[in-house]
This record gives sequence, C-alpha cells and structure tokens, in this order.
Amino acid sequence: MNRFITLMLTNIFIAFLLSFSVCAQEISSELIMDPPTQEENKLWEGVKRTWRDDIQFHGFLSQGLFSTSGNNVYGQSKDSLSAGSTEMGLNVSYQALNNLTFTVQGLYRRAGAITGDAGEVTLDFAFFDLNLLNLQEGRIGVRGGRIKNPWGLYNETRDVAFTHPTIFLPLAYFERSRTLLLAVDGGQLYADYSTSIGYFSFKFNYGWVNANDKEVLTAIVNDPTVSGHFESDPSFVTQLSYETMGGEYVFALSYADLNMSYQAKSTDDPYAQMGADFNTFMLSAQYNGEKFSFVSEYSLKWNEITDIRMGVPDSFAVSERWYVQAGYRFLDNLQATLRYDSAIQNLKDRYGKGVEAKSGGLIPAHMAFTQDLVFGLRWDITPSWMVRAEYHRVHGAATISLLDNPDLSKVAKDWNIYALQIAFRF
Amino acid sequence: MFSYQLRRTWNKMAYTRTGQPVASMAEMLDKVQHMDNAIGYIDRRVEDESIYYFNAH
Repeated sequence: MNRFITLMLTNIFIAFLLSFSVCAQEISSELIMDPPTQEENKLWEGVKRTWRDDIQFHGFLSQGLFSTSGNNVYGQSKDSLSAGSTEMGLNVSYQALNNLTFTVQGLYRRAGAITGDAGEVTLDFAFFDLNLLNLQEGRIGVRGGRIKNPWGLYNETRDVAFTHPTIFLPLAYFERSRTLLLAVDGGQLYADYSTSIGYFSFKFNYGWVNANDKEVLTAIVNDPTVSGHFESDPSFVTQLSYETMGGEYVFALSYADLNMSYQAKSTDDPYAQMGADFNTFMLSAQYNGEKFSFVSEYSLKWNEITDIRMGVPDSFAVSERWYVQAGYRFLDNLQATLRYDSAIQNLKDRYGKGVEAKSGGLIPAHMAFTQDLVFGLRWDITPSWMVRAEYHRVHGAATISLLDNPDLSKVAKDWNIYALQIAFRF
Repeated sequence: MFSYQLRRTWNKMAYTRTGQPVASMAEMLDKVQHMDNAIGYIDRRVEDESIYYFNAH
C-alpha cells in the first residue's frame, strides 16, 4: 500500500481518540455481526456533531532528562541532571476548498542555552496548499508560506519525538544547523506519483531560510564580540523519495543549497563583507520489517565562508556525516535501537590536528570529529504516550552546542550521555 | 503492512500537514468503495447499507 492511499486513513486518529477502532471494509461475508443498536447510533451522531469536518487540530509534547560526563547537552547536564529540553507543538489546518488547505503550526522549544531557560515560541510552519492536479495515481501542487524542508528522513518532523527512533537525532541532523535547515519562507512545488512498484514523491522548496542563529555564527567566527547577524539569500532544498508498498523500503535523495550574508550593525564591523554558502546532499535508505528495521544515511556538506575579516583567509571545508542503525521490535510497542554515528567537520583535517595548530591550541583537535555509539529503548505505552531511554558513548565533540559549552579548553574528548524522554501526541 | 508503518505515515502527515485528510465518515466509505486496494478505519457504530459486519478471528 502506498502513502497516497493512506491519506484516507486519517480517521484512524479519531478512532484512537474515541477509543473504539474496528475495521470495516466493503467485503461481503457470511458472518454478519449484530447490527448496531439505535442507542449506539445516537451516540455516534452526538460525537460527530462536535467535530467540524474541515478543521483539524494536532499536537505533541516531549520532555527530556539528561545526565552527561565531560560536556553539556541541553543546559547544565555535566555531572548533573538537566531537564533542559522541552518541545510542544500545536497545529491546525482548515480545508477551505476541495483543493485548498490552510495550515499553521506553533512550536514552543527549550533546548539549553540557545533558547534560554524560558524557551522560545516560534512559528514552525504556516502555508497554503493548493492542489493543482489530483488523480488517483498522484498529485501535483504548490505550497506557499513557511514550509518545512524535506531533508533526509527526519528533518520535516525533527521536533516531533514520535517520528524518530532515538531522543537525539543522528549527527547528520546537526543540532547546531537546526535553525538553518528547518524551513524556508517561500514556496514549494510537490508531486506524488504511485505506481505498481511503489510511490514516488518530489519536493522542491525555494525561498529564504532562517540564518539569524547564534549557534551558526558562533561556530563560524568563534568570536564573542561579533555584533551583527546572518541574513538569508535565496536558497533551495529539494528531495526525491521512493517507497515500496507500505513503506517497507524507503529511499531518498536530498539536496540543499543555502546562502547567507552577514549584516553588520556598525560601519567598522570587521565581518561586514562575510558570506557563507552551504551545499549539501543526503542519501537515505530505510528498511521496515516486522521485527527488524535498518536505517542508514550518508551526507556530504560543502561549507564555503568568504571575506571573513581582514587577514583571515576564506574557509572551505567538506563535512561528512553518516550512520547505520538497526532496530529490533520485541513487541509491537517495545523497540531497541543500536546506532553507529560519525561526523567529520573537514575531510582534509579528519583528526583536527590542522585546526588545533592553526588556532594555536585554542580549538582542541577533538572538536573536529564525533563518533557516537548509541543504544536506546523505546516503549509506546499507548498510541499517544511514549517513553524512551538511551545511552551514548561519544568520542569527539564536533557536534556539541558552543553556547552550552563556552569554554573550549574544557571540552572533553571521550564522554557519555544518559537520556530519558517522555512524549505525548494527539 | 505493520501497524507501526501506518503510524509512521500517519505521524508524518499529521505533523507536517502535508496530507489531505478524509473529512467525514461518509467520505471514508466512499473512498474505500471506489478505490482499488483502499483500506479505511471507521467507527463500528456507523450504520450504512453498504457495510457488512463480520467477525475476524
């Protein structure tokens, strides 16, 4: 079965909510159950009236708990306990016409120093969806507004705990670049096509990304006195994906071209001419079997930073990120995950010796790479509630938040993460 | 197809709002009846001449 047909399955959710789910198909059978009673029908009519068919709400909520050795994640977790990660989202969509939908999602997020203790509320996405062609085999349409970027298997739903297997996303979904890759303000062209061998989906996002992010700027200039910010130039993100019937096999190729330029606050700002261009692709493959799941993604990213400041040469580095992950489902609602994850900041300086020497020892060599071995357990208590726990053995610190770990001389090379998360969705 | 695969698809649609949900029980019945291979979940209390109820073991 393909995703296009599963578009019709949305009432599964209503069935979960009301706690009665019985499958009915138009299959003739000799075994006819007792017909529903009058009373039951009245109840159903009552339930139906409370729903407006053309407006739908959905939401999610998650809270994480972290303890680490060596480096901080999501606040002060080092040799301590941090509850620094909270995510809450609510979306509403309104189907105005058969082929026109308006939808908006707000996100509340606390994620350590980058959002502060109080957290941040952002407009996660807000767009209209105009379906230009809708056939049984596929559809073509456009979306306009703020649209999530289809990058890899998880970027579009990276803040929805239920949609990915571990608390921490793989390193390829680099937390420091989160804001940059999250969404575009612009437009999307999409096309879906289902065939007898599977389901093809194409998306092309064009517009302006959110480049005004402290983590990205800090990582690039490594200078606390920097006063300006990055602004996006026109950028695009595109993805072609293929799924076999029912999503047993999923393959995707994603490509992003992100451009930004520095906006100075004052005329004597030494960074006034700085620009940054990122080009990146990601190859994704996933197998979803009855007991076993396997996922692997591979990504290369070309980072070009020009006119940084007088006397500083342009920087050009190719980053590599990949992981392999295996999942085993002991029960339908209990899953174990094992992942080996690798991130290299600059393929020409794999072990960071160059960056350490060039910075005069200021940037330790182990900030140039990360290898992360992850073991996690996930228990879906009900369709709406989930808890999971995981352990990371980490070698290197390329992917840590620089705002949570401001003192580079104290950044540890070998460290551990213990994490626990509870999540709810409706 | 396993139930977790359905949930994966459903979660992605619900939290990116990129699917066009079925608006009513009547529409669900209509889709299931008129599309090849379509499967839909509905409430057991819905009464309609076109539905046959049967016990599955």
